[in-house]
Formats: sequence, C-alpha cells, structure tokens
Amino acid sequence: MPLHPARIAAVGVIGGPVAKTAVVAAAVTPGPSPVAKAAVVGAAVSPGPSPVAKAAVVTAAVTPGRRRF
Amino acid sequence: MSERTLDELGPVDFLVVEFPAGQQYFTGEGALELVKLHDAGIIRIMDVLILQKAEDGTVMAQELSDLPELGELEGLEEQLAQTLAEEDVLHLAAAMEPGSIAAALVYENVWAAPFASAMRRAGGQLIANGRIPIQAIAAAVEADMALEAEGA
Repeated sequence: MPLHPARIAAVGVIGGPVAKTAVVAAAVTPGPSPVAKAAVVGAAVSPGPSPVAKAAVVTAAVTPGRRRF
Repeated sequence: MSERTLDELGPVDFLVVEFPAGQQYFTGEGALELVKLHDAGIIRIMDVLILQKAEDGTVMAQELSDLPELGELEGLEEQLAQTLAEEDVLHLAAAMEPGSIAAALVYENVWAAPFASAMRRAGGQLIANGRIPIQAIAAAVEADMALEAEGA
C-alpha cells in the first residue's frame, strides 16, 4: 500500500473491521423476516412493470405527518 | 480552516462507496458533487483514500495525490487531515468484495456543528444515531400498504 508514511504508525479511528452496509440495513429493518424484507427493498427500487405503484410508495415514505406504529 | 474549538466541531462520519467489478463507470461526476458539498460548507472533507481489493483479497490503497488526474479534487488534496491510519484501511476494506474499487471518505458534518454545540451546552449528549436507507423506509411503507390491503 503506497500510503503516506504518516499513516503507517498512526492510531486508527475506525475501531474494527467494517461490515457491509446491506447486512447492517437488513438487521435493523423492522419486520419478522430480514431476508424477506430485503427482497421487498429490492423490489421497491428495481425497475419493473409498475412505476406508478412504486412512485406511490416513495411518495408515502416521504410524506410529512405520516406515523407508523 | 480557521481555528475552531473542539466544541465547535461537527460530528465526523465515514463512508465507503464500492464499485464492484464490471460496474466502474467513472466520469468525475461524483467528485464534482463532493467538492460542491465541501465548498458550500455543508461538509468538510477530512480524508479520502482509493482502495482496490484484488481477487486474492489483498488491498491496495492510493492517496489522492497518487492519482494521475485529480480533476475537481485537486484543490481538496491539500486540505486533507489524513485521519485514516494504515490499520483503518484494512478495517474498511473488510467490507469490500474482491475485484472491487472503493472510495473511503471521512468528513465532518459542518452543517450539524451549531446544533450539536447547542445541544451540548444544554446538557445533552448523543446516545444513539444511525442512518436509515431510503430503500428500507420505502420497503416498510410498502409492507404497511400490503397489510392495509389485506385488512380491507
């Protein structure tokens, strides 16, 4: 690694190996089945035959005043 | 940067953006947008490293100054604080897939500094924070809609 010499002996700030964000996101997503939820996430952002329905989802997600309990 | 006390600093975040093998379409657009955020005082770029993970898992890190053409990042390079140490490179690269290239970025959220200072002066302390991917919010709303439809 052709790093700047100052980095070599420096104390790290990250603290440990970093997990891939997708794994973390699945773990904290509400719902009984993170795997199934991940599939829904994929569907929500994937191009497909129903752009109107997806637009409605995104609109609902960012609409002020909406509370989910 | 002018002298600032510790209390005036905003929270510092890091992120790693991975470009998997076969999905590396570098146009300079990302660098341009990053510099815009820095120049606007929304964030302060503290460190940038380019990481490359070979198929055998070995990691190579490049300083910005090692890049052949810095483009929009040229003015930024001199202002970096070199926050990341060598051991951080390995920690960050743990999230990368073999064959990928990644940009590791450390930045201060300058926009949050006044609010954070005010909270500290009021006796507050940060006890939790995190990021919710917009995809997760959309998925939760979609799941709600599905439940509502089932109940209708």
